[in-house]
Formats: sequence, C-alpha cells, structure tokens
Amino acid sequence: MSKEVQVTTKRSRKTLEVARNTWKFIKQDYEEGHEHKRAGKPVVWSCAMVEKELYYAMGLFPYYPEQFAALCAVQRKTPDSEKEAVRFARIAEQAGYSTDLCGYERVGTGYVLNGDLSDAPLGGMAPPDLLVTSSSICDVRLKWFEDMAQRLKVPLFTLDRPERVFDRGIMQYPKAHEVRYYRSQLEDFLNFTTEVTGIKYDPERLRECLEWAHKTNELRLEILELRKAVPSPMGCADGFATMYPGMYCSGTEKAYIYYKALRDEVKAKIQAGKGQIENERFRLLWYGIPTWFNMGIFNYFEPIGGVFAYEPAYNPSPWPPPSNEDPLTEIATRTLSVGTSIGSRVEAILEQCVEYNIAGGVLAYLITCRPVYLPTLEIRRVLQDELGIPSVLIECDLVDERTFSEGQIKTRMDAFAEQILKKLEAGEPLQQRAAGA
Amino acid sequence: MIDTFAQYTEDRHAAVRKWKERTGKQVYGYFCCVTPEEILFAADILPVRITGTGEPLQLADLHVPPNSCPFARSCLDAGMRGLYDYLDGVVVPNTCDFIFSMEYFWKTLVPRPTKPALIAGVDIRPYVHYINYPEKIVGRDVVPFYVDVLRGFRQDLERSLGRSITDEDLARAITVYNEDKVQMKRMYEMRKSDPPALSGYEAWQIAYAGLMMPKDDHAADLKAYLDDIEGKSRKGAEGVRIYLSGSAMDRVNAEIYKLIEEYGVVVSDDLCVGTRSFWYPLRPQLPPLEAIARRSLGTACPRSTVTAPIPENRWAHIVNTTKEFNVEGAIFYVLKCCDGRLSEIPHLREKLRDELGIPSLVLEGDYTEEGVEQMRGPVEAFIEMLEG
Amino acid sequence: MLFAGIDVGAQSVKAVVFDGEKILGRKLLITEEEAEKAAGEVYHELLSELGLHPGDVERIVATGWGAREVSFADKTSSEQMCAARGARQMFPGARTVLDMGAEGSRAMKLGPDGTLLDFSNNAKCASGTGASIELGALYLKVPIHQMGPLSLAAEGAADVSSTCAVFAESVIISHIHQGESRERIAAGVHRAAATRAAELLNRVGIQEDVIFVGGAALNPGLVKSLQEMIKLPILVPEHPRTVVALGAAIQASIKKAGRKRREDAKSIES
Repeated sequence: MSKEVQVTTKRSRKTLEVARNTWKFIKQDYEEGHEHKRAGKPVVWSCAMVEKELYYAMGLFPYYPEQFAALCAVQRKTPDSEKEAVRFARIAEQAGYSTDLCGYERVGTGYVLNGDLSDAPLGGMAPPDLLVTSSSICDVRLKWFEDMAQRLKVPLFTLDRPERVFDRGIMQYPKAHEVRYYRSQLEDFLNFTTEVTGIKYDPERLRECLEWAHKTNELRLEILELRKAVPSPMGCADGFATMYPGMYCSGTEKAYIYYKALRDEVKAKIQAGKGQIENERFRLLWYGIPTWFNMGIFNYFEPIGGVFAYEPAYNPSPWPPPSNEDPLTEIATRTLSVGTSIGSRVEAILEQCVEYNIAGGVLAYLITCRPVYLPTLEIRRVLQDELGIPSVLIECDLVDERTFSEGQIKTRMDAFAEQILKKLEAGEPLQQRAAGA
Repeated sequence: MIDTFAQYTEDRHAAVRKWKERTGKQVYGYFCCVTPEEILFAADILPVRITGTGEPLQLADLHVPPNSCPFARSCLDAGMRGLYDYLDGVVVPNTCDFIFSMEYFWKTLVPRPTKPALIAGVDIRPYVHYINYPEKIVGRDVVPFYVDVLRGFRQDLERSLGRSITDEDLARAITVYNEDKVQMKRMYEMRKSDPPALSGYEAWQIAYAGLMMPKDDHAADLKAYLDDIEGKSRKGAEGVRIYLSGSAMDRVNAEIYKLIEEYGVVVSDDLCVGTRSFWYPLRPQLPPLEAIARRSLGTACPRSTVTAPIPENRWAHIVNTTKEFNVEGAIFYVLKCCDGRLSEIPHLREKLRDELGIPSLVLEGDYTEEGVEQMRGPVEAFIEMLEG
Repeated sequence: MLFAGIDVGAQSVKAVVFDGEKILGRKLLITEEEAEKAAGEVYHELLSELGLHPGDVERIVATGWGAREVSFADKTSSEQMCAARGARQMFPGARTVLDMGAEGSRAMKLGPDGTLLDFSNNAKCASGTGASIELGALYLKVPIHQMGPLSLAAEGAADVSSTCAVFAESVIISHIHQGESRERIAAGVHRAAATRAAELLNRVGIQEDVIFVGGAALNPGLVKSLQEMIKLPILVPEHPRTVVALGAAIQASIKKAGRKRREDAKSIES
C-alpha cells in the first residue's frame, strides 16, 4: 500500500481552556460507552438530529458513526501510517462504494467492513444493539444505516422528520398534523426500543433529561450571544471543538456542567477585554462542516488579524419553553419548528453575518456532502449581493484528505484575504447592506 | 412507432406547447413519479414530467455546484433558459436531497411566466408548490399524515385556480389513470415472451410520451397500438434478457437503451419512467385522496426507507419485475452523485445474485451522450459473459 | 481453417492470424489513421507477410474501441472477453488477467475452465492506465520507454498521489523543485499506477495465475511495482500488446462467439 502524500494537517490552536480539554471529555465519553456495554447495557448507534434525551431516558448509550468518522480523520495508527479515515474509506471503496459518496458513510462503512470494531481509535465504538437514524438533513443517513444494519445484523429504526419549508423566516411553529406524525414515530421508537432491550419508557425519566437539555440549550444560546462581542472571545476552532457535548450528550448533567464552565470562561474573557488574538482586524464566518483532518486552517488568517468568529453548523436553535405538555409532543414541536429549506439556511446566514460583524465567508465546498454543498454558490452570491462581503470556496471532503490540495487552497485563501485587506486599507466598511435592503 | 408518441420523444416542448395552444388549458411541470399528478389532472391541468437537456449547462452551473446530480442540474438549467416557460406551475415533492432543493432553486432562479396574486403579502397563486412527501413510507401515521399533506396541496391548487377540486373530480381522474395502467401493464406483458414483442427502447418511448400527454389520450392511443401488435403477432429482436435499474430516464439517459440493445434486449426495469410510473394501482374503493396517497407511497423509490435493513417494498418490486420476465442479467445505470442508489447497490447486487441468481453490471453515468458511448465496452463484455 | 483478430486501440492497431491451435503471425502498427483504414492496413500487411489472401481467412473478429468501424470484420467482441481468451491461450492456468492499455485498464476473473466470470474497469479517469505513466514522463521530461528503467534504479519512491493523475502533476513538479531524484519520482509514478491497478484486480478477486497484458506490461518498473503490491507472481506473455488481438482471433474460431452489430436498435418492426 503506497503512502499518500502527508497533508500537513495541523491541529488548531484554541483560545479557550475548555475547548482544549474537550478531547478528554470525548475520551471519557467513549470509555463510558464501553463500560456500559461491559455491564450488559444496550448501546445504540445513531446520528445527529435525533433527540438524544430519548436515549438517555431509555438507558441506551449512544455512539455516532459520523462523529467517529470525524475523529478518524485526525487519528493515525502509527506516526507513519495514513489517517484512519483514509484507511477505512479505502476498504469501503474496494468493496464497491463509490468515491462520490459521503465521506462519513465511506469511513463508517469501511470501519464496519474491517470486521474488528476495536481496530480503531479509542477502541472504536462499542458494538451496537440497535441502530436509529433520522431522515433529517440528508438521504445518505437513511441508506447508510440500512446498509450497516444488514452488515451488523442488528435491528434498525428510522425516524421520519418532515421537512419544514416556509415562504419566509427561519422558524415557525409546526402544523398539527406534522406534530402528530412525528410524535407517533417517537412513540413507535420507544416501543421498538422496549422490544429490543426490555427497558420500559418512563416519562419522568424523560422529563428529567429534558430539563437538563433545556438548561444546556439555554447556556449554549447564551454563549452564542456572548460571541458577538468585539474582540471575538471564542472562535470557530473553539466552536467546533466544543460542540460535542451539546450535539451528542444532550440530556445529561455532564453536558450542562461542561457548558457552564465554557460560558464562564467566555464571560471572563470578555470582561478582561481579551479576544482570540491581540490585533483583531476582521472577522470571518465558516460555513459548513470543517475540514476535520485539518483544523489548523482556523488559525490561518491570524497573522494578518483575521479571526473566525462564527460557524452556523452544530449551533442550537431557541427552543419553545418547557411545558407541562406530554414530553413527546414537546420534543416534536421543538424539532419541527426549525426551517430546513435552503431558503431558511440562506436567510439565517445573512442575519448571522450582520450580527457577528462578518467581513468574509469561508465556505466549505464539500464535494461529497450534498446538503452542505448544494447551497454554497447561492450563499456566496447572496453574501456578495446583500452585504457586499466576499467569500472563498474550500474544495474538499469532510474526512477524506486525499482530495485536499493544500497549495491550491492556500492560494485561494490568500487572494480572498487580499480583498478584505484592501477594504481595510481604503477605509471602506467591511459590510455594506444593499441599497433598499 | 406511432406519431403521437414519437412527437413527444423527439421534441417534448414543441409537442406540449402545441397541445396547450390547441386546448387553451393549463400545464404544470413536476418532478418524480411520486408526485400526486392525479390531483392536477382532476383540476383539468396537464401534468408533465420535467426532464433535462443533456446539453452543456449555460446558467445553472453558476448557482448549483458540480458534484451533484447532473440530471437535476440540467432540469434547472432548462428552466432558467426558458425552455419551460409554458408551465403555469411547478410541483416539487420531497424525494431526494437534490430534488428537494429544487423547491428553492426553481422558485429563486427560474423566471416565472405567471404573475403572482398577492393578498396581504401572501401569494395565493404560487409558481412552485412543495409537497412534503414522507421519507419513511411505512408507519402507523404515515397515510393520515400524507393525506393531510395532499389535502393542503389540493386546497392550495383550488385557491390558485379559483375552482374547487371535488372528490368526484378526483374519482374521475383515478379511473382515467387506472385505464392507462391497464394498457401499460399490457405492454409490459408483451415483453415477457421470448423474444419480446417490442424492444426496451420502444417501451421507453411509449412510457416517456405518457408522462407528457393526458393519460386518457395516452391510454387510447396505446390500446390501439397494442391491439395492432397483437393482431400482427409481432416479434421483436432476440437477445440476452436484461433488467435495467437506474436514474431518471429521459431522452439523454435513454441512449443507454439503444446501446444495450445492440447486444441484448431490455425486457423489464426498475425505473421511475418505467415500471414505477404505473405499477401501483389506485384503489377506487378508497376515498380518492387516500387512494392517491397510497399509490404515491407505493412507488419504491430508492431514496425511500422503511424500518428495516432492506426496504421490503423495494425488494418486492424488484422481485415482481424480474421473476416473470426471465431476466438473465441486470444493469444498474446510475448517475454520478446519486446517493440513494450508490448506497444501496453493493448489497442489492449481492441479494440479486444470491437470491435470484441474477448477475449485474454497474455503470456510472454523467448524463451526456458521450458518457453513454463510453459504456459500450463493459456492456458488450457483460452480455458476452452472460451468453457464456 | 484460419481465423483473424483485429484490435483497434487508441494508439495502435494489432492483428493476429490463428489456425485454431497456434498463432501463425502477429503485427502491430502505431497509427493515427482512423479505425477502418488502420485496421485494413495492419490486416492486409500481416496477410501479405504470411503469404495469405483474405479468402484464406474463415472469419474475422474485431475488438477495441474502434471495433465497430471495421466494416470487413464479421463480428465484434469485447476487450474483456478477448483479453481473457488470449491470456488463457498463452497461459493455460490463467485465472486473473490485467489488461492495461493507453487509455483504459480492466481486470478479468476467469473460472477454472477459462470462462469469463467477472470483470472491472477503471471508471472515470487516467489513473492506473498507461496514460498516467505517459503524463509522468511528460512532467519529468523523459522519453516514455525510459520510465521503467529509471524507476528500477531508484532507492525507495517519492510519494505521488494515486487518486488523480492531474493532481499528480503539481505533486511531481513540487518534488522536482525540492530536489527529489528523478528515479524516485519515476518509482512513485509507477507505484501510484500500480495501486490503482491493484484496486481493479482486488475488485474481481486475485487468484493465480495472474497475467498482465497490454502495452503497459512491457514496462518492467510497473510489473515490479505491481508484483510488490499484490504479493503474487505476475506473468507477462511474450508480445503482450497483441494478446487481445489473439483473443479476438480465438473468438473468431468459435462459431457462436461475438456478434454482428445490429444496424438500428431504435424501433424494431417485424
């Protein structure tokens, strides 16, 4: 097996202590899962955008193959070997899975095809007793999980989350029949889990998890507000590093404790007037999933005063306040309140660029991640037309570094930075709302 | 091939424009075979399937990036260029990720030929109608949910057209569509014989024309044509019997039929322009919206899921459309970046081989005619291999 | 009875005459003529050299990308089938065949009796074909036939991307600028091509005897690289470039093999 060119993938330099310590949190979380399995308790493999509180309420320990793939993008078995993500992707491709397919799917499928689930970073994910996936975000998650369920021979449950398309706006309360539909599936999911594991649904337990989740979500929203400060106290490297507990451990106390510490640290930074770097001259937005195998990219513009201030991916939406309603209806309502069309996404990004004082967009042009990829050119166009801000496209895969051309990308990023620096030197505003907007 | 069908396969836009001029009625474009076109037909609208051009993109490539479905991009390009300016409306169901994005792209980028009708800021005559088609087609609540969705769609249409669409109108449409299904099934029956009475390409032409003609006209013309074939005991060409499974077969992709049939003969398929466009009955004993909902949910599109490792309905459809046709080999013709199919193919091929004894060939297309020509080598080799 | 096979490739055209048991003669022409003319040229020149007339030949089968243009051929047959037949004729124990031409590569799996069971193609691009080695030669400014020996003289190999031949250009150029030796770069180019070829072979499953045919098999650097990669001996026949034409001639000797091209598949009326 020939060695691939070693991309000089750098770890990112993070601003926050909590961000730097997240790796420990993740390792502990994985270990907890293995312990859970050793104690004979059930493990579920799932994906983002399924309401995790349900798992914790049902005594399941969740793992997420997509998160695991991102982890593999960074890890090597030995200092000389290729990245684990590349190793697994090759196995899948050899078995006939097209290179056009989502990087997460290729890595996840290769990992399973490899046979020994422990032959992987952190001892891999504990073998699942069941698989649960959702239709939200993309089609791949449905097909990929069907495929895994066949190979691992475990039962699969699919949640169908109806798309939410609005004429205008980013959030809207769902219609009655939509809530009813999603709620009935949540019930079906609970029955399914009881059938597979024998564990009964306890609404009180779910209430408890939802309370933690609400409190945690509030903290995360607070942090998002704080990040609007100038100079930027928390960047995208920190943002991506710290999304793990909120995305994957929502409903647990440990997630709440984690974000409390993070919020306090961000607050302290603002009080001390400290930003990511000393001389902040312009702020950038990172659109999409990051190049997991090369997080160092987030520090790239720092020498010229550029910081990444905000990233829309993985960030929470406001939830309707907790009610005495049946928890399943509450969950359905909150999930279905968010718009999922490209229109909503574009509108949201426009708003965010204004609120975070963004001077330029770095758009992840992820050639195998359809939902992130499809709106990219439109976002670039809209940012230019509505706000007069330039964007640069970073062409790559989410976890497979073989298609990453570092030289080409650096050239593009430099040219992009030039455009912003020109404005600064000419004393022009970095953002300009279109006339009549 | 009779003229009525040929005009649609040769120049579909001209043929539909002519029809529109002649009848003065409205035409709506739609994506995918799951669309409840029966409701459009009930409202006296001609539903026509939107397809691409296969020509290099002129406008869409500035807005939609390249590592995505080339067919859908071409459809959008055609819209942006004005090739579809005779459409009074467009219906976009939530099928695959790309088609779903058409809800935004078509609305935003295609110049609309009709004027909006604004009342208190709400456009009651939208150009693009979005239908929330479920991704999971089984489940306790999926039919009631989808019926509610269709009810909403019907109401939007009624408001848009300024007329009501009654259950009787729907029932009439169902009768027309069922008659067309009878004739289409009949045509496919004629492909079970050895050799089949008509070639795969011809069958495609007939099915394709049906996607752009009023179904009653199509059924009548087809019946006459089939009566004629039966009367003459017509026999088509012999050859290795091939099953074709793939992405949307419009005029560009259908070149693959011609290529395959230089070496073998296509007798059956798993295509949205083929069997999946007519296979599922509309049960007249059900309330019409429910009948339509069930028909739409039954189409076994690869992107749909159930709660099971292998969608049973998908497998059942494949079994039903291969067993009686004496299929010797399967060819998967998949457009690049078609996630639904690319993900299902590895295990589907194994299942086909292990359970039905059918070997398969996978071709990845780029939606150009040159791309199809490059598949000649593997197609020839596959068929030679089957001949032994 | 005599049979002929004509392989119309992208850069050359080959002909073989076969008597059902042994090869009477073979010829290769590097040509830029269009397919029909080139096929005619190589065929008639070969017949002439063998002292034969067209009437002596019972049946002609054409293969390769220009096969359909050869109007005087009786039938056509796929390159996969012909490569399998030709390799099997040269090596009765052949079970896996790799055919690497200028523009395309394919791997074939044969059953114990020589039947073609499965095949794989490189789907999209130049990686893992003779073209990728040619490109390497271009960037290194080295005549193509020296690439093999250059790579064999290397100690180890520089890293060259095996995913995309066009990517490889910038990688090679940066290696040159960094003072990497041409030997090691050549070795890297070969290793990249061999990686892709190995992937093709793995898709059909590798079993001995493994036969390598096509123009690229003449490259000792590539053969060595591939052997190291699959860890099995690779057998290269004498005259590897005409093996596919030989296979076509063998197809010609089998009455039912190959097919006449159907004139018009559009609509078949009785």
